[in-house]
Amino acid sequence: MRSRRLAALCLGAWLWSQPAAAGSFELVLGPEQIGSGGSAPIFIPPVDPFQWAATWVTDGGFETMLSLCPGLVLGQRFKSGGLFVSLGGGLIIDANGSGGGVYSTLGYESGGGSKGWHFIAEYTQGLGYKHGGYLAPSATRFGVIWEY
Amino acid sequence: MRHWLNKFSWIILLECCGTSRALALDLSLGLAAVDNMSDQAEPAATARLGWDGFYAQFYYWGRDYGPVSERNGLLSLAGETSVGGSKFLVAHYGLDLLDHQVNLYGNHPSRSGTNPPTAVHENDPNIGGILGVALHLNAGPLLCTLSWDSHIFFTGSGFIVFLASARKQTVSLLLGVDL
Repeated sequence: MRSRRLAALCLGAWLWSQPAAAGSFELVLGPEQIGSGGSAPIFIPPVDPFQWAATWVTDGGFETMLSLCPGLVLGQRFKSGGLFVSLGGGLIIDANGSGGGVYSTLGYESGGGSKGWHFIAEYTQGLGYKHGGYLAPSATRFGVIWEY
Repeated sequence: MRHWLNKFSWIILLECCGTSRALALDLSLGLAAVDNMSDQAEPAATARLGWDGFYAQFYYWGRDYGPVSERNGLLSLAGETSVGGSKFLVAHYGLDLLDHQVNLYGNHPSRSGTNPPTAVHENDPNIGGILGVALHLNAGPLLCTLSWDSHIFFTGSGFIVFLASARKQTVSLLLGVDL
């Protein structure tokens, strides 16, 4: 019990310390391909949860993406001017199931990394393994990024 | 006049030869898995010609099932840019040209047997974009490339209004040489 409290305290302290460091938070929306065939239109209004993704990137480029497409993933973001590439892995999800796998993101961010709100466009693809087949979700998304 | 034209053409030819020597060409052959927007993939043959940060890669795959024959050719013309300053890891971006052919041979009458045999030949070309990542490993003149790309095809007015697109994802392993 005491170790759990200590772990919670450490986690809280770590999360509390994060906003003080530089980093970014992004929220993006766009049509996804989740292995169900056919073309993928965007929902109007955007009520499909597969079309949303939220990503938190630390100053060192470590990113955590919360989404249903490609899934719940951790990775490293490499920036070059406004362009960036992210690579990592985690739980990959699509219409055929879920399983472990890898993902990559190619994107563009306006503002050149300066503080504040900026436009972001990105394409994310995932590749995962499940019993009897594989998972290949992808999404083209647009949104905003807050550099702090 | 003809003399000067001949001289000029020789100059162009020599310039081209000089330029081609400066180009860093590489040629690779390999296999690929092409997804068909489900949880299964189809095997494909692929060939790649690279030069100075650009490449052309051709994929060919197809299958026969009953009287239906399907053949696909996909040509990617793309650029490569280093990821995080790496010598090995690159990102891909560029243009795709897809030709999807379906042939239904006419020596199979309909199930009722009343309709005359028909032959259907469909040819559906499409233009799209490629985005992906690849890993290049060199050992002397030998080159090994592991490439993971998405080929995104627009769906006419559906793309303009709803951003609707179709996609083929390819994973390819190529072995080749630096020329």
